Amino acid sequence: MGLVLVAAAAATGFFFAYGSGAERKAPQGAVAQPTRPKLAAGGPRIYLTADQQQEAQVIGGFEQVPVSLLKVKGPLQYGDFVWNDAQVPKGAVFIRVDLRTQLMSVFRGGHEIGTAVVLYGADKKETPTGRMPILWKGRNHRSSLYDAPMPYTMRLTGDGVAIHGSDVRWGAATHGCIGVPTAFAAHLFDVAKVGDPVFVLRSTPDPSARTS
Amino acid sequence: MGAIIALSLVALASTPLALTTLAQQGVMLPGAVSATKLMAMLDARSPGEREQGALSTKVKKAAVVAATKPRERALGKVFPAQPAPTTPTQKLATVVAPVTPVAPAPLAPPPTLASVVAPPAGLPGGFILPGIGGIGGIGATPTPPTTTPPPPVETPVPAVPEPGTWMLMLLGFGIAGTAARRGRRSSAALLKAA
Repeated sequence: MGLVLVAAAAATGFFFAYGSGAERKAPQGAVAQPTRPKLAAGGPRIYLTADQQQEAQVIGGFEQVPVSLLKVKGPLQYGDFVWNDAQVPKGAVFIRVDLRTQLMSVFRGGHEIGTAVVLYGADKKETPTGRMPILWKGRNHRSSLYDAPMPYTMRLTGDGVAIHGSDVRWGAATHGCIGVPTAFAAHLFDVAKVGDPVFVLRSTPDPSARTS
Repeated sequence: MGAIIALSLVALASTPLALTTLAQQGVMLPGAVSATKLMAMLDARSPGEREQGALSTKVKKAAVVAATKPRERALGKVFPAQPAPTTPTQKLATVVAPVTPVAPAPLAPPPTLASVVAPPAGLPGGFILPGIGGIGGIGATPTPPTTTPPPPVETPVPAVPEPGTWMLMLLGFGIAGTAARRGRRSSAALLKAA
């Protein structure tokens, strides 16, 4: 008993003296873009039932009736994304952004090919909601208003709101743009075309989560 | 018999839990009612709503830099700065005042040429020409004593125990106290028993 106490005391002393390993892993110098690994989507897709497709019409934000979703394991964190467009046939692309859940879903031909956690406008600089077609695409755009890099920009409005790659992390917001992880933005930039619609909405939470 | 089994299996498979599991595995059961709503499936991926008051549109470079800098520093004892070297005019003033007229030391009579030119052959090489010393002595001016203060004595910084050391000390006291209490209790018990 006594030995355990002494060992615990020694361990505490060492901890205070030398610190935990977490302190030493703190980043030094400039902020670097975090390279979060792409989460692997599970094997089979989740094919929606007729009821779920009906529900999709009700909750809105879908240009075409969704056919399948990506199988995502658990909640995504800031910086996470899933992209899997293997074996998904060519088709019309649309994007759905939900500000309440902070998620973006990309669909091609009704099948979801990508999803990511997004950053959106701060309280005084809100991202506009509605259906907005992509007006312009630019790979290495730079904001003239804020003098900041906006990789893989897909402009949505005339006054500067766009989807672009950014450092998606907790506590950050944009001046109105929709920020996605840069690697995800690269994938999206390749599949989306000028004219593809983007739905931005703030969904209301469903009080009855699971019903049969 | 087989039909009964099949029906019971279908009935079992229609339970919400089974449907949810099957739906999540991507298996479509024709005619079966879905248990999970689309909204719930989408919400399950969400990191949650954005928290109020936790926003910044600026790049958090300053925060990261501040986080890497040490928050506290242990300052050593601060010593007063050394007095700056005085200017020539000041030096003259200080030199002139305290200098007491020092009478030049009485010089030995300058040696005659004869003694210098014809030194004894037996003398070693360490023979110093006194003439030079004498000449040097005449030309010398009395140098005043330097007025620089002595360097301050460095006192050692008292050691402050680390938090870990404090903890260990307190724990040691606790153990000692517990041991003493145990000893007292056991001796008291022995006394009672006796």
